[in-house]
Amino acid sequence: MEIKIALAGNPNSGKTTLFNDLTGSRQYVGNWPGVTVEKKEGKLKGQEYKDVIIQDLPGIYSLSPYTLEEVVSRTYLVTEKPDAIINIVDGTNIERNLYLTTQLLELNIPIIIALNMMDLVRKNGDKVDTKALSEALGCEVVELSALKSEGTEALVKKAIAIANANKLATANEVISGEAKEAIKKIENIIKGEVDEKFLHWNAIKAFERDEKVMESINLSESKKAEVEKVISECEKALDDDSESIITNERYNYITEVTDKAVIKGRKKGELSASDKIDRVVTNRILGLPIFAGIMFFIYAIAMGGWSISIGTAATDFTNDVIFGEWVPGLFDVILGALHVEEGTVLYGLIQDGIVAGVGAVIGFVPQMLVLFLLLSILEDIGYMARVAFVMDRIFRQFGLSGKAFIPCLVATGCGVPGVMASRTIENERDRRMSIMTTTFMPCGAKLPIIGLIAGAIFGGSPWIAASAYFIGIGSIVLSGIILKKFKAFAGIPAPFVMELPAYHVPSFVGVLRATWERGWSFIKRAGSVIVVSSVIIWFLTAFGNVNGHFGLVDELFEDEAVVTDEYINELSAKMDVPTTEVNSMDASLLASVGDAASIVFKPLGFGNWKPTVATVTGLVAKEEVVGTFGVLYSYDDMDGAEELGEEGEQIWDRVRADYTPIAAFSFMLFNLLCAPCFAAIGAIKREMNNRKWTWAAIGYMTGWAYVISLITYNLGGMIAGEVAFGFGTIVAIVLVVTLLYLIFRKGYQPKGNEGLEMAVKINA
Amino acid sequence: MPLSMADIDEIVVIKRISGSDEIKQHLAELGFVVGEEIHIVSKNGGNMIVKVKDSRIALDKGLANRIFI
Amino acid sequence: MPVVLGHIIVISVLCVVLFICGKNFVKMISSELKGGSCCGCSGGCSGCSKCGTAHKN
Repeated sequence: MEIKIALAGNPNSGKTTLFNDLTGSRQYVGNWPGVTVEKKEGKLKGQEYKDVIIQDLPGIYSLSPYTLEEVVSRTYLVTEKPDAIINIVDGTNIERNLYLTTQLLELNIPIIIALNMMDLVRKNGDKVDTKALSEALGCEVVELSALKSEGTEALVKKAIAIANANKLATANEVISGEAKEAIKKIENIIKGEVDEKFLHWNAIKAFERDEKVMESINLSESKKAEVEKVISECEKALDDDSESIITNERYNYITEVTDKAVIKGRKKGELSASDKIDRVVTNRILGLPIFAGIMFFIYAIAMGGWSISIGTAATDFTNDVIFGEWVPGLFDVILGALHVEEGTVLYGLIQDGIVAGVGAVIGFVPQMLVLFLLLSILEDIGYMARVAFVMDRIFRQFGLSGKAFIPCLVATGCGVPGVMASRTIENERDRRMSIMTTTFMPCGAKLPIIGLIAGAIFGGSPWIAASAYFIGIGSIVLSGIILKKFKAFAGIPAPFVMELPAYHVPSFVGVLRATWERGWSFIKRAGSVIVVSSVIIWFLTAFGNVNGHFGLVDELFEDEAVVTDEYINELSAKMDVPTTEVNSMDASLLASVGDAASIVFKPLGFGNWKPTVATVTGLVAKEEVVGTFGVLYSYDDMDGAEELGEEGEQIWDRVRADYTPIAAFSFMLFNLLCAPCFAAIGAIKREMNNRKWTWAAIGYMTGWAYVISLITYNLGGMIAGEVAFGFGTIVAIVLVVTLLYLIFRKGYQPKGNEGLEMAVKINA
Repeated sequence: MPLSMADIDEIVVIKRISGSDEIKQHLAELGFVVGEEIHIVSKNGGNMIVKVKDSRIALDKGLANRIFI
Repeated sequence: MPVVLGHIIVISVLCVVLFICGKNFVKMISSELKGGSCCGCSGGCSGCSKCGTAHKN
């Protein structure tokens, strides 16, 4: 017989850790129907617990009808009627946590309390008398330290026991006095109209004038009037509004309970370690510099060019040695032993297609791993929430909330969770705006692009990486300012209120695991997407039309009758490639198609078939841009130079030859800012929940990328002396002026409360 | 006076919370009710970090202005 | 070993590899475009610590 157990508790109470502990990997994650709130369900671990389902509810502070998470949770509890509830309570924060508990108790569902973080409670010097607490609340209380898996066994056994026995909490008076009388009266009025089990709960909600509950009860007009009369009388008697009355009753009850069961070790007003850290880290003068310093430090280690830059060192090794010499060498030997000679199609496909393409991308895994590791640590410590707070002051000047900053930070790892992190923004308009601009941030997959350009053209300068991030953040902020001036987005940002969890030492295992999973998925991506893309690209470069003859371009190029000097010059001019570098690929199918499309990118400085093709492949996965380069630049040039196997830097030299610095920079910017990869697009689609907006987001990002690249190439190029004054320059100047106008104009002024609505009005 | 004017390290008591029902209720759920004590941990240009009922809550200036102590 | 055999071995291995990669490719892209799993970045939410952040209100 299936048992359903719901897991409910405050955010930051350790619910997720407990859920993971209970279900291991047997989890299913989806969405609650119709809303972008995550639904997590899992089967209890352990042979003897077959058929026990654990439903993880979103972290909530109460069962009020005001936020999506709360509505989704209460709807679940009232319609699905789980067999038991495990209420996870943060022991270091009991009073606030019990607020939800009082509401759960009213649901008449068997409930057991998991008192978490007990190790922290003890460390703080506080004492909780679990037995007294249990007596006061009327249900079992189990001590837990979810991080250390203590107490979980006992919890599970007891939860199942009460589920099977349908053992309800012993009745206790949360609400007393006048309010209690009023609720009793309402119970009598609505009796018969609601499920008997939830009579008490519905009566309380009716007393609070809870809209959603009133809708679902559907009373006759006369009954509604009766209820209203009861409420008004009580409000008059207690001189307060009904919601506040109930809130106060709850807190009074909680105080009674904690008086009996909780003893505080710390003196009032004493600051905990976390508070002391926060004093410094969120200080009005130090806060921002500290943050900038930390981020710079992280990127220096992962991507810089200094001695602490272990990321770069490892990547260089991988690129130059592993994929520069060992792997191609190994394949050379194996293929040779199997009689697949160099120069054959098969050999080319494997060495110049797969190995070159995949190798180019995998080379960057070390850098990404280091970055992911550092970001994980930062997140695990709890610093991210503080960052939102520090940035809020600045963001608010631009009409944005500090909460809009978190998606940006998360997106530096991967854009997909970055887009999803926009869920913390309650204001619908701000949320859409955040989704639209989050992927401007360079994600892990874009690192290879930065690495390639920085390495090949700019001598490994760390300023290139830094500029990529500044331009990313700059784009987000400027976009925010510009978009907010339009009617669709105007409105004051929602008030910023956020709970800051205590700092804690990052879990070594947790961080390593998170990093490993990220790295592994990157490699898996390389294994599937990159291999296939590289093969396809290689094929398209293997065949083509050489001076009127169609066939394998490599073979045709060996025939001097076909490949005349004249033809070479023609090809060189057409493809804009120096005659010494012209090779068979330039005559291939891909080259012709790419060349035709490259017109689009001429104003941006990279109107050439290779970068055009690379940019398009970036849609599949941003890493693929580098993968494509790997394939497209591993050719035998006209001098019969050695193939890629010997010097990994061969590509880099060739790339350097093909681009002027400003063109390369423009290319990098375009790829960093334009529409993100399919995965991110999918995430955007899901979060926007609306076709029009999804396309708007993609269009906006690509448009922005185009404009920025154009300006950079034309104006930047002119300043650097690489580009002459011309039509492009004029267009660039016009664009700059337009941008400045959009940034500084007055914009749409919303009236009154317009724009403030929370993203929560749903029909649950 | 509004909370936003309190100084760092002060411990103050809430006298009144102004504003719409939704905001008031949300604050109440976090522990901000009349009669409750607040310990100011940090201030950043009007935005504040305070301790209420043992938890650490960050508030922006707008909200801090609505809580009267 | 005869040349033909060598070629056959290489081609068969290649086909298997490409088949597996191709299958994964299609699976990944179609699930990504649909909006896919929680993270899209790793196989399942148990590992993606980011999703935990996404719900702090």
